Amino acid sequence: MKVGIPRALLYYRYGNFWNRFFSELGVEVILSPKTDKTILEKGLGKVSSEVCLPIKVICGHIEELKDKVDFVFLPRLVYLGDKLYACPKMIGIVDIVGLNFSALLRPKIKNDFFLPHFQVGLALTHNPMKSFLAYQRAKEELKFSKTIPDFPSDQPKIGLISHFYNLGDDFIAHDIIATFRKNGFLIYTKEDLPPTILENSKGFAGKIRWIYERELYNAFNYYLDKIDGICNIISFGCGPDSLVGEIMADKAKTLNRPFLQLIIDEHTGRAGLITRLEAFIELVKKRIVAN
Amino acid sequence: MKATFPNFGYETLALKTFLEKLGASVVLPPANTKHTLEMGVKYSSELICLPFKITLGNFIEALNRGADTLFMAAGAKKCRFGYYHYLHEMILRKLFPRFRLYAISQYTPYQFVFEKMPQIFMVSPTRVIYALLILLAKCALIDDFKCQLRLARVLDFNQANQIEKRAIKLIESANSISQIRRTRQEIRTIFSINGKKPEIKIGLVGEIFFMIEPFANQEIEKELSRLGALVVTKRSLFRHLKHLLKIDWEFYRFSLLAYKYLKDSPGGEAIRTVGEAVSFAMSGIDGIVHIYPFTCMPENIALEALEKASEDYDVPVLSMSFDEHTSRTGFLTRLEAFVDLIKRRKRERGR
Amino acid sequence: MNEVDNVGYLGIDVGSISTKGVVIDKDFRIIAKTYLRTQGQPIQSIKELLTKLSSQVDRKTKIFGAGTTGSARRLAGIMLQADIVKNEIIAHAIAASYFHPDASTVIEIGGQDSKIIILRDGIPVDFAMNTVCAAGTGSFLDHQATRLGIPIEEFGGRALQAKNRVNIAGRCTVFAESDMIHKAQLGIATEDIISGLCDAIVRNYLNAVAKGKEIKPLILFQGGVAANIGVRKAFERALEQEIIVPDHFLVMGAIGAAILAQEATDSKKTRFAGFEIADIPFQSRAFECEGCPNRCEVIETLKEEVIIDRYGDRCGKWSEL
Repeated sequence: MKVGIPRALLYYRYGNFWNRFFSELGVEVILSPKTDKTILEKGLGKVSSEVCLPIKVICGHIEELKDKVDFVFLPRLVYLGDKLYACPKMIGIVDIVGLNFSALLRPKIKNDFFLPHFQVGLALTHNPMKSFLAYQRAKEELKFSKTIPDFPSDQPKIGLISHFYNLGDDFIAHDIIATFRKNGFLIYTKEDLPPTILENSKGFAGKIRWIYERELYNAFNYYLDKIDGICNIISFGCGPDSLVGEIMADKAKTLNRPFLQLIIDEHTGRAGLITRLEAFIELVKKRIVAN
Repeated sequence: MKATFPNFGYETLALKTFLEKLGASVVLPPANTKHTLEMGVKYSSELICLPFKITLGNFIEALNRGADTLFMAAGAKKCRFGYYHYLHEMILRKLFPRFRLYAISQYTPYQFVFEKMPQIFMVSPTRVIYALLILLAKCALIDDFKCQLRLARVLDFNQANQIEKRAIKLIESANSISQIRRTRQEIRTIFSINGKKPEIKIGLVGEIFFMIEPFANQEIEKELSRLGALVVTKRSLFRHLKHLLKIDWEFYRFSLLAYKYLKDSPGGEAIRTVGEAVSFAMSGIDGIVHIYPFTCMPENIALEALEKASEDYDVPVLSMSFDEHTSRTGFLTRLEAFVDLIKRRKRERGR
Repeated sequence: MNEVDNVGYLGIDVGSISTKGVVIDKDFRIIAKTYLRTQGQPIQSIKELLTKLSSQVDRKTKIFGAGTTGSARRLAGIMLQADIVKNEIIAHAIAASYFHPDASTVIEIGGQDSKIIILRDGIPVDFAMNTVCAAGTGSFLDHQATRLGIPIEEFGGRALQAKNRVNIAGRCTVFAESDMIHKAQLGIATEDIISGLCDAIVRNYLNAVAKGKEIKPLILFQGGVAANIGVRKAFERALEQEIIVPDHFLVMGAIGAAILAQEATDSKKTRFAGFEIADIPFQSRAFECEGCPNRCEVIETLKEEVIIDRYGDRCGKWSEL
């Protein structure tokens, strides 16, 4: 029995948990390879051209896995905590894939992780004890305890405000991260912050009902006065980002902090992207010198 | 208080009466025009969906006309719509220093009647309930009117446009339950005209703002009737209000019909769109047109489900998204080709 | 019907880039066929087209019906007093299914837009049209050919000489062009870049225009770009199937219009004004209506200084003559 996990979207947060869970179950996992041009192209024709890049990417990964495994594992995250939702497309894409492909394992996560995963375990092994234990053992991978990062004063620091499935995917974000690194910047992302900061529900953050958007906004707020500049990476067609990104841009402008909004999609030319980044880097460096 | 709210198709008239019944004097934004859209586009982010840009344009034009209190539907869930008002306020504050914006959550009817409205208008909850009843009755009247209009437009396009103007005058002045009842009869009488029978029937589904506001959808209903297709829809403010009050029984049927395609709501009105389309398809409709704002999240999911339903029920579906760059020529060409295709198909099958 | 007269049907397809016209006989054989550039002056082109067509048709042939299609179909229809004015999607489908009754897919790439038409048993059942961007259409290819100093006729052939595969970003003309320039600066051979561009056009077409459509054989490739062998080969590579370019691929829309004219005039007398209208002064002008802030652009057509048509207004104030 082989279960395929697409290396996309939620994998970049829950990947460790899932790998552990399936290995405890004794089920072989085939992870799709890292995103590349071929994978993206497989995904492009599968879904409306208007949707965002990460959705096209996951469709490609599923295509890649289809013939190689018995089941594709595609969980549906509906909400976490106090009804904090995933985005409509993350919820809907599971059904869309399911329309033409039935060998899907699609646990539905509504805050509770145990039951849906227990059911997946049961379906695969028919062994309740094993499924229960596999979840209990894998559970520790669900804890994302982090300590607050250092902010050394002698190095330029940049905050990359974007979803984990954008930053984690080298195909999408490698060039951006590499350009900042090459220029001596320390990189801070929302994944570096502890949940206490990310889950803050005071102020405008509390009004955002999209779980990952709330995290982005909190990370943005936290970094705003601690680092030298913010780069907000939005994939074209991302609904929540189009809204919260606008609010972040406004706030950064009001407080006069360097802020660059990069809109990416599958057509983004590398040359143009790097030109913009380098100009922004110059600007941030000049400000550091001036201060 | 000079209250205003964004234009919402013919239903604007009902919402106006509602606010007036609560004691507000209403300053409507001018009818949607290119200027409205230009204003909206100028001040909003390029990435956001079209309804935001149009409603922002409405607020700007209404504030210029002297409105000081803005009402906007809200209720943050999965769709961007629930968050519009935060951005509206942020953008408008920079242009107009003095105004109040009330965000009215759609999902808390109890609070709406007993807390929010009494607080804003200093009236008793009874008065709110009365105003709400008038609103519902008037929405039902407009629903009825739109049905008559759709048929009349196919029968005799020019005559229907004349009658439409008369009917709107009648609706404007109907402000009590008994008047509304009388107007309903009158409208039915003036709309009884003869003409050529519609050759085909097309179901219109999609995002609610696009379903209701003719400016947003490039007057798609008018264009379809001009091409000789009778338009049917199951979407209106009346139905939406019933849905919010949880008394729209048909919605439960739509949810069941949509379940085959969407097991969980991706937010917005995707479930409803799919359910309505399936119900149209089952009733043997000739074609379905699906309209939504460019990059709309829930409707892009619905679009994929509709593609599958189109195969399952063998009914042609045309999905069209709109933004401020939508070319009218391209839109008309596609609509025309779609209607042509359906007519040919029908004739071919009739043989 | 006079026995000595030959029956002819006229079809005209006025696109943004080119104007096409045919005359077919009652068995749909082509009697006359002309193709010329619109150059932004449709009235002039239509007249020129009519003159050329009439010189190809012998005197015994009488026009029994006229149809127009293409983006300026309305204007052409009014000038000609055509029996039918039909949009280009249907016209292309009709012609395709006439010449290849077993065709299931029609790929049509013209000057400004691209389309896919799905046929089943000769009936058009579905279609899609690009709406967002002009990349991958004829005018873009023209522009690139000019930029690289290669005659457009040779452009496709050069792609076949490519030795390596190069990736060109496809959707937007701006991206594609800057990517091509970038690749050229890296020293990549022009042939490879052109071939890459052909692949990009096809990829973009399949992902954006033909998305979700079931592409079954037989596949026809029509419209101006079908002349480009590079694009055709790229389609064959991507679809792993043979692509058929019909003999009259350039004028398929016009043929469709002529066939539709035959259908429309079946036992009725034609309204066609005759080839003589090539000598009558026509004029088209636009003005902005100031009746409301919509500021609709109203377009008027005048024949010998008399207004014969107006359109473009949303409210109907002007179009009701």
